[in-house]
Amino acid sequence: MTQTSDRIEKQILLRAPRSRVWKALTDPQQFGEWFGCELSGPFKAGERLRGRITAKGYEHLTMDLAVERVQPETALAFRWHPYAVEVDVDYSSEPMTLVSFELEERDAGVLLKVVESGFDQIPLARRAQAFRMNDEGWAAQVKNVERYLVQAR
Amino acid sequence: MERLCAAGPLSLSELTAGTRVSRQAIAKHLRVLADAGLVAGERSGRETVWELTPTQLRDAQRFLDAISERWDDALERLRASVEEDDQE
Repeated sequence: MTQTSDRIEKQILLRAPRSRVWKALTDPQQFGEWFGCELSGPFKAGERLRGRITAKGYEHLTMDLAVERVQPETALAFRWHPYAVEVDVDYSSEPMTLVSFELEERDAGVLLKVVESGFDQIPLARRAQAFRMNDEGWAAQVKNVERYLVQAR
Repeated sequence: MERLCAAGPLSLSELTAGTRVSRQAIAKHLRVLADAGLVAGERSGRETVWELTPTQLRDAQRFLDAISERWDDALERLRASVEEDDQE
């Protein structure tokens, strides 16, 4: 896994047939189950989809997906607004990040590569805002660092 | 961290001066803090000067970390779902 300020990259080896992985990625219902949302329709390049978030505590939120690429059993890509968790904020004028999935055949199954990029275009203030509500989590993290430092002595 | 906060950017020797903690121990602490995104070091001549990471940049990093964590969770659910029916 590599990380810069602009992109997140993930790789996961899935021990399942390629067709199965593709279905889990693109079947609206199956996508919804692991991604945590109810999609308004199937993935079609050039179309917009809406997804109602089903994750606990976020059910009041919907997300907009702009589908960019659908290449059967090979690649899927869409744009969206990452971490759009504030109801009273209109995200539509903000730049979207690009999420792309690529499938590669491996002996043991399918290597799925996920890249989300374009975070540098999201206003810094907006990225920071996502955490104002979550300061307790931050305090806990500082405690963890402190604990680590004490142990490292 | 308190000293960096009060005095601004400091080199390792400046941070070590007047403490009973060894230079190696402080260097190690700085690396841990840097990994956590709390401080950043910049080379200046022969030394590295350390300072606290500006809040907004730190928040930007946390934003990315949180999204990264969500991806890990989601991909783990995806794995569970595709590998489960494979065994059926």
